[in-house]
Amino acid sequence: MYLTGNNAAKIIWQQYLFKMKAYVSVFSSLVIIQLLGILLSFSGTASRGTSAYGMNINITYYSADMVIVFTSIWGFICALLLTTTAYREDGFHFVTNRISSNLSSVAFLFTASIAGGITAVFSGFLLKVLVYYILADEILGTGAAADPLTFARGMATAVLIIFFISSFGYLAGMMAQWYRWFAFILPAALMGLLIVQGAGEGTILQVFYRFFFEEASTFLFFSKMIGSACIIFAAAMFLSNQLEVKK
Amino acid sequence: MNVIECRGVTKKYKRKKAIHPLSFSIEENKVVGLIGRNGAGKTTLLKILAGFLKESSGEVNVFSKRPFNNLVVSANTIFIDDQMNFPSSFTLIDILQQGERFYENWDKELAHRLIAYFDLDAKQSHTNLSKGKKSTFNMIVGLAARCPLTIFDEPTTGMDASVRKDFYRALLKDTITYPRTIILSTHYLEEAEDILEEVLLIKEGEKYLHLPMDNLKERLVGLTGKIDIVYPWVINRDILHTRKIGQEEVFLALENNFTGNEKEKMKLSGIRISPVSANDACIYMTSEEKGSIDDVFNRE
Repeated sequence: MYLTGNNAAKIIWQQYLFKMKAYVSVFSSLVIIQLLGILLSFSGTASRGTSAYGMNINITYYSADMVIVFTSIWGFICALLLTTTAYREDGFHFVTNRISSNLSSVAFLFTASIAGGITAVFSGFLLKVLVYYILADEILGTGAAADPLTFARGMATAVLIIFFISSFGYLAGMMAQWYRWFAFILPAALMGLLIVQGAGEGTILQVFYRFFFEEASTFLFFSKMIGSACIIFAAAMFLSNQLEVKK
Repeated sequence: MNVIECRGVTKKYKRKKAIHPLSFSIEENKVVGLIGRNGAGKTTLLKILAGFLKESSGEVNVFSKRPFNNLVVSANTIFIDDQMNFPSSFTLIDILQQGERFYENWDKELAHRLIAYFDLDAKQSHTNLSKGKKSTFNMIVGLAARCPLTIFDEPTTGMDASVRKDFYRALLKDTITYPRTIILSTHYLEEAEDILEEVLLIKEGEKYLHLPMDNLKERLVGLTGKIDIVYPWVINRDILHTRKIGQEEVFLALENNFTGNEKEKMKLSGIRISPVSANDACIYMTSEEKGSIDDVFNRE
């Protein structure tokens, strides 16, 4: 019997399609997570009130920020799940090697980020409609984007943030696969970091936040997000190369 | 052409050595049985060949390439065992469709005919199948993939006798039409006897024998007779198996290297000479030298 030729790009594509079909359930969990985010957004992100001449004025700001945060956490968990043994081995019943497996996972996570980012931004509209019907007496402003380009930029930002966060999940998952104790060390280290370096000027977390999230230039922000996600995914792939393919 | 070549392959898990230096080669389009006791290292060896595990030392070549993490080897090899956990959302038909997309030689029609024959519900989820049905389905995947190297690791787990028979028959028919290299590990050698061309016997992670099936059937001989008559014939020979029959008689199994003349004389002195089946031969040759299970219960 002759040997079949093969093409790495084709196999990555097949693996990607396989993962889109196999892990379709992550998209239903996305819906639930975002509904939860909307529910929690009902309290508003900020509010102020004044009273004068016997009148009370309360202004509450509602935004979908909470939904984006929740969706990022969802992206993190999805990525973590993909690195667990059961998920990693799923694809190996068919043709693959580790590079194609990792790349197709990254492609899958990017697709998931796109779905998560777009729906998260759109959920802002749902939130405003719900607030209009349920909570608010009067809508002072909708806060809608000024033009389609700004709106698209906002969406791309949400997508990239989720992708960026999911790369951390992927790396953390691979680290835990590589060395079991990381499953305990990583959360503990993160907690410790939050306690020791959480508040104040010039702390690690603040530098991190400034570098990534206070970038004024859209182009630079996008490059930073994509660049660091690539570096982190590459590190995870390097780690996965230390593992057996399948036990 | 050799599809598989192994030279001094070893595999160490954390502390335990699973495979001691192991060297062998397998020619193209042979159907080879991998036989060994539990824990002899069969699965480890097969997983190394399939590219799932990294050998600790030595050289492994499959299609002249190192199999570990290799895309070409992966595309031309399929590894079937009873621990294939497909995503739980997949129905049988989904899995078949995936197989069709991944494997170029996939035979869709054969897969569907086999599914229908074995009464599998194509819309059922793989996770909910019974053990035997799962094995049956995995076997169908293995056959339909038509990979130049097909590895079955104990494929008949949980199958009932009639399905096992059908499985070997299907394997035989399909390999005649589409010859390919097949490695099959099994504990039921007598059932697979007819389709295996060669047997690779491993014992405690080492190669013990690698020989054509026909030679294996003639390799051992069984002698039955009175204890004081039989034993003089086997002095300085390696007795692989001893079993007492009644008070006076004994059955011995040993390598068949008696001359025709000797056999005639043995027959005349009242010793019965019997062939030893391939399955029994494997059991005798791989048994540990600590007596039989009977000794465990003899607490005198």
